[in-house]
Amino acid sequence: MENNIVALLEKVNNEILASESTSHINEVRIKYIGRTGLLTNMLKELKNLPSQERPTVGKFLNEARITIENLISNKLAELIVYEQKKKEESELLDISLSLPSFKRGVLHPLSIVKSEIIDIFTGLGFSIEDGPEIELSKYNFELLNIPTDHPSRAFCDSFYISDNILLRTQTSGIQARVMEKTVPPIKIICPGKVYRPDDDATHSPMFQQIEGLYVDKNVSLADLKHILELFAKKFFTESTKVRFRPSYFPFTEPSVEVDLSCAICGGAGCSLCKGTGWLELLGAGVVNPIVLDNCGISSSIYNGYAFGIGIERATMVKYGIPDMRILFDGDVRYIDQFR
Amino acid sequence: MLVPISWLKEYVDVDLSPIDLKNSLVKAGFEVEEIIDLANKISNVYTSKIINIKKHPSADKLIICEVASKDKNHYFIVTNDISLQINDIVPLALDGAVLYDGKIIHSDTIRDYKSDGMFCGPEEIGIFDIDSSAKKMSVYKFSDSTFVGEDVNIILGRNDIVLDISITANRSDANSILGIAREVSAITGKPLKKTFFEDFSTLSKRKELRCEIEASDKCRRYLACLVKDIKITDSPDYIKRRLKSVGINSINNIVDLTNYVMISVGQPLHAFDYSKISGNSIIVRMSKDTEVITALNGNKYTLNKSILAICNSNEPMAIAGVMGGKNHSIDISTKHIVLESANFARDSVRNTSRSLGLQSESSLRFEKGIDLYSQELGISLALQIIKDEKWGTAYSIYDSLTNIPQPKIVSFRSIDITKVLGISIGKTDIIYPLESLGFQVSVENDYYKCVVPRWRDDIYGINDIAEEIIRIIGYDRYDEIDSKRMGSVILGQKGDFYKLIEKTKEVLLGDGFSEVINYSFIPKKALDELNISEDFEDKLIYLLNPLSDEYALMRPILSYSMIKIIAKNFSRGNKNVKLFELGKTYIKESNIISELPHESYKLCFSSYSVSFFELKTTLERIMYLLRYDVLYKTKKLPFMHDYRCASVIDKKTGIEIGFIGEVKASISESIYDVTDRIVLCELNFDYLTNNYQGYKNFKNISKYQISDRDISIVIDKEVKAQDIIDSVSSASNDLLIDAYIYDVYYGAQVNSNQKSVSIKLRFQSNTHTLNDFEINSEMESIYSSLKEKYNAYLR
Repeated sequence: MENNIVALLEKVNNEILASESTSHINEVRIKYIGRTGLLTNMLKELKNLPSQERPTVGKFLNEARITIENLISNKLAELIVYEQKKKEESELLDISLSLPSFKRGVLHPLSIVKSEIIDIFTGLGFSIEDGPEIELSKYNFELLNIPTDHPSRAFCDSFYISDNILLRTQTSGIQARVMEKTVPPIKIICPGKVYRPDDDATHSPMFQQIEGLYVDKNVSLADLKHILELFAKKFFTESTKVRFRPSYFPFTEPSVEVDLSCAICGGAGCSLCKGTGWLELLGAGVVNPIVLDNCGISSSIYNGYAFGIGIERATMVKYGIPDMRILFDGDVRYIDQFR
Repeated sequence: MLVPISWLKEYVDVDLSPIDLKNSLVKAGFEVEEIIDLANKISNVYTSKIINIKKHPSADKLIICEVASKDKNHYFIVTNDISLQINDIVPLALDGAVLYDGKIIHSDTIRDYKSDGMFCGPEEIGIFDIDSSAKKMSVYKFSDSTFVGEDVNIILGRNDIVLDISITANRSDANSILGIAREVSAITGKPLKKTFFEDFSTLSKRKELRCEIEASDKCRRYLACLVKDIKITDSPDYIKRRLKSVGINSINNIVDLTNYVMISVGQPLHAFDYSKISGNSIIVRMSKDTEVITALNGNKYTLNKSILAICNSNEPMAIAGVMGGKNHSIDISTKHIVLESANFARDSVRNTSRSLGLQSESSLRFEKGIDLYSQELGISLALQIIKDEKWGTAYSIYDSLTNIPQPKIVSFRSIDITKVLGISIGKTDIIYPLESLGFQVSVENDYYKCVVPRWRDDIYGINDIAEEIIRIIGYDRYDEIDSKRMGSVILGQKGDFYKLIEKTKEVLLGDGFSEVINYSFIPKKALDELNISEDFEDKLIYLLNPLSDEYALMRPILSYSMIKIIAKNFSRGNKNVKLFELGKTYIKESNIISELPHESYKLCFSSYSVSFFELKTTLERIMYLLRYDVLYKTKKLPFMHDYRCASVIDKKTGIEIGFIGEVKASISESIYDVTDRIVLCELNFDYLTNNYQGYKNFKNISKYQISDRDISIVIDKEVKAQDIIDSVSSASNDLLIDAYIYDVYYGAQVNSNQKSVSIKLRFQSNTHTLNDFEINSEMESIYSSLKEKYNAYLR
């Protein structure tokens, strides 16, 4: 009996060693220690043995079973690793392949620059206000100290839809609307589309502006300079400088053109700044007291500053776009560059 | 405004270089567009006088001229212009000379005879306004009195530097040589040399000259001077030269005088022939509808009631501020003249100029506005020159302005200026700039009183004074300050609307849609192309003055622009094109003309690279993110596929939010040449933002197991997926947490009017693990509801 068991063990061992797959080793398990396996059957036969032999043989058989189980599970673990490895090998991918173009969409450059400007000014305490694009001349002109005989009201400088309704030529109308209904402090930016009858490489009949307005007690031109410096450094680089030049806008007094030191050459002079070292990017000034009074804010208590940025111009400068009309072309090959 | 520096020096001693002068003017608020060196084209060309002519020994068609010119009396020049005669004064280009067209001249030997240089034709020295073509071919001849040996640049008034200065709309007072001189004087500290000219206050009033101002609202001041015994002649050289340097040709002394005064001091003048003023009276009145005038340009204009005219007792003699009439202007036989120096209202001149399509230097100036003081200045300069040149005698004067208005006075303290500028301003900072600009300043205990010069219509209050101060002392002052005052602490907010825009754009970008921005105006024919003109009828907004018919209509929908831009990308062969636009649309809601139209933000996204269902997935992602439950109803739109278009409806309110579908092939293919299918969705973005509910209450998730079940039913083909899911959802109680269709089958296994639909159902309870009994009873009620409603049966 014991010899039989030793022979069986050797046979099992050989079969396990020879096993090449997990399914094969399962067969081995079933063959010997399954419900009707050879060893299982020998254990069942135990009861037919003389009682004095039973303990020894029984112990021997049990030990054999444990040995077989261990051998099988060790081999099985080995084979699982081996088979997974084999499977991986068979699953070789050309990882340089890609699915046919699945691209993420891209924001329009004007939206990118607009958000950038909005983020800077909201960070500085300005809130966004919106207003109508088709506007009463009262808000677009009269309240802003642009009288009826002012040159910029001429028919050729605005698109009209009736005598006193026009496409807004500036987002300042929003400022007038906000000032009419708000007690200062007022600190707002007004982004939006505006319209003027020009159409060439540097003018578009529709373009976007962001105008800012701050009305409070003790606001001065120095505060304006400060806030625009903060903006310029954030929008371009830390070393950007701001320069004021006197100018004229009816709704501000004093009025200034705001030059930023050229983002490309840093002031040394290049083709972008036409050799001057400066980029003309904003118009600004101290809110004309007449405008405050027109909008129901006492100019003897409050004062303010206002500024306006052309988003198209800022975008063209930032990205070096040569012709404004490209921005409205709509070809995905233009837009998708701005990711 | 062209400002020759030599002319400027008549009023102020400028010792700055042109570049420095430019920079100073820019700092003071006057943009200098260009510095023009009039001489830069021609050099080394001199006037020369022919003293002898002989034949060329070996060429019949050539002559040799002996000429006197610069530094030497005997130059020998070979030329083929045999019309030249002794004593002619002609331009001589010496060795190394540069001509107008850039050609360089070298002395040369012509047929064995050395020529010291070359005579020039008119075009070679930049003279183009010569009529006869024969003259163009030959050598230019100067008048007999021309100085010999002089640089032709000087003779032709080209030895000058001219600044092209742009004047801001508020500073029409600076639109003259004197005006710029006032600024230069203030900037440089050099005093003005002349501020007023001939005093005419002693002239007798209105003698032999009657004037009547009927339309005083359009004519703020009318100053007229009768000048007798006028001599019509040539202008002196200095006037010719100066006018030439600003691009004005000389006509005769009186016409030149009016132009010269206009450029010098900014006041347009007009000269009438006194003998042609019938009734000896000038009436400034509105025209009659039938009146006709032949203007100085030779054209006839029919006037009307809204046009201001300068008339005699019978008829109009001039279109006020725009142009004089031919029949009443001066000519060779003129004996006496009336000089008009007037102030016409700017909108009156602008409207007239526009309605007649007639513009002049004078009308442009009136449109910009002229102060009430200029009229005196203009007349005084004109009379000064007439007197100096002995052209006539001032006889009598008329002035409609009998009371000179009181000068404006602005009072302030230095703190008021500091408040505006934000930098500290001392006493000299205030007094010096203002006085140098012609303000009269007095100060007592920091209370300033300044009298505004009569030509400064743009100065009203303290802010204006602050600007005058800072632009003269210079914005450089701000270089040193470092303001840290930020005023009240205010929270900056983007607001919900912008946040929702950003959120929505995230979905679109993630799904591969790129943003476009189209013009708000679309062509007139746009809605006809989409067959939807009738839908909008009276609601459309047209521009009164569009750039062209292409940009005539404010768009009531975004779809048109989107289809156009999609078509453009298709025609350029772009692949994988998915685009979106977020922008406003415009609709007239009432016919009340004074009411603003309705503007609403729309969102449109479209592609020819994805299917209807892919586009719908993007739509559903947006709705998911913005927390809207929507349902779809078949929709017929004239430009959309009859069977592949749905309206998108907010389930909660039943309100239509937009539509999604395929564009009709008869539109996309036949009109826009897009052979792929265009899918398109347009949504009312305002609705989505106005009704946005946001995320409110936190909900715990159930920790009990989810049970999945499938059900496959056969159902009528026409029943919509959406209705099946609705029916399933309403049949179950709260245990059903999700239900969706994962397979639809049409074909041999079912009747042709039926389809098989497989639905995934998921059940879960918040309180316990569900048992089979509970789930089966749910399944039972779901099935019976489908059976009842749609005659569905299990497969």
